[in-house]
Amino acid sequence: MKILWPVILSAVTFLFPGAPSAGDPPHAPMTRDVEKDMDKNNPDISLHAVRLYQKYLSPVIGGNCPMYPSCSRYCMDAVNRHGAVMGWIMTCDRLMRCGRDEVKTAPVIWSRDGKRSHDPVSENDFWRK
Amino acid sequence: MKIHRFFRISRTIFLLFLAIQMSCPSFAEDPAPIKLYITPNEQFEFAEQLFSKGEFIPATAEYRRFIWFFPDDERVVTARNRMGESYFKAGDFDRAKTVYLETISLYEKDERVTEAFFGLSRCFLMQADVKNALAALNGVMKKSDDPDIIDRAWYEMGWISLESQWQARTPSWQEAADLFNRIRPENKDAYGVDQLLVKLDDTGNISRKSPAMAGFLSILPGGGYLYCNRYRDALMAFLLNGGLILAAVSSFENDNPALGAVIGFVETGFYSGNIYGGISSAHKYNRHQTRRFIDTLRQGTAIGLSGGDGQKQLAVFFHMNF
Repeated sequence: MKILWPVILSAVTFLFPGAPSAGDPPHAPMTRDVEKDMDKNNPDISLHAVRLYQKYLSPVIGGNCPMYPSCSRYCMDAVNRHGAVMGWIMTCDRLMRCGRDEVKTAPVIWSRDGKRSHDPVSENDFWRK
Repeated sequence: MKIHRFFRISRTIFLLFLAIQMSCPSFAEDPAPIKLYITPNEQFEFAEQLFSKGEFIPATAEYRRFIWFFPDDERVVTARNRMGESYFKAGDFDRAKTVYLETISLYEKDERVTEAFFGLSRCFLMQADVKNALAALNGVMKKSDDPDIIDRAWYEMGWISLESQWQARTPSWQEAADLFNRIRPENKDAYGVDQLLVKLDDTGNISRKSPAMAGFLSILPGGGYLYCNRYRDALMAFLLNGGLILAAVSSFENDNPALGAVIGFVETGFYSGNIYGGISSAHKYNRHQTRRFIDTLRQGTAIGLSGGDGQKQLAVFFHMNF
């Protein structure tokens, strides 16, 4: 059974590289500023983990998330909008979908990093509609 | 003595030269300024030409110049409407709205002001403000007695109602059908209303997925995604959740409860995310199918409005069949 550990850990680490990125396609300047303020004002500890990831891990791994916003950005948006619990659940859902079937159905947008599938939080909080 | 005479002659020549230069108009004055006269027709045509070439922002300036210099010209309302349309086509909906609202308040008795109401409605629609878009079309109804214009307003209202259904959980097509039915019989052919109503009767055949069923099937990780035709997502959800559950169980079995708890915590998130994603995917599937239905519906229609690719935005298109 001990052989499972590397498998599980590599499965988790396999999911994350595709997700977040420091070189995320930029939002509109105003939105970006507002979001940064929101992120700073949000004392949620889970956001610190995402910020650490964005600052130190993502530049090493390379920003290659095929979705827009990237999974780390999506996580921050989800936590800011719906709190830590729903944000965490929505992020897990996003990580499972990232770069797979969503690419075929989501609208395509072009960013400075190329073609991305547009899948913001507002498209996934169905209970709000 | 000779030197003194030389200086006198030189001074005389210099004074003579100065006198000639000052008396000659070609040296003393600038050439006569060229006066440019532009007729209202020339100015309007220039603005129209820019508009037709897609130079919308310069066109707005030229329409504004026309309005400023020829305020009494009968085409001022047309120029204002065109200016609004130029801003609209340039994507500056706020300025377009300002121009249309000014036109409505300044020329409320002019028949052409109805065009400003239509333009205003489109601007609101682009900003996903369906309520005010409909209110602007109601303004057309109040202002105009022309039955053709009122029919056009009913038609656009019908399309707004149709387009606003794609985000709805349970689309209500009847409202749009009722609005299309208000168009007078003599104009129904022109707008293709009968074909639209026949297609609207077909809404029962739009493929839909039940979010409740997707959530229920997600009890087995990936089942909800599979139900919504997301095969790769389903496989990933199944493998990831299965692996994490197995890892948590094995760590508890091997007397490592701390690690088991950590993995269990992570797995709780992914398992909940799997159920959440199943339900969300069903909603997305339904929206996608509704969008496709509306897109096929609008093909071949005279005037339509289109959704903005997943954005909270709607676009307007004009499509004439020849």
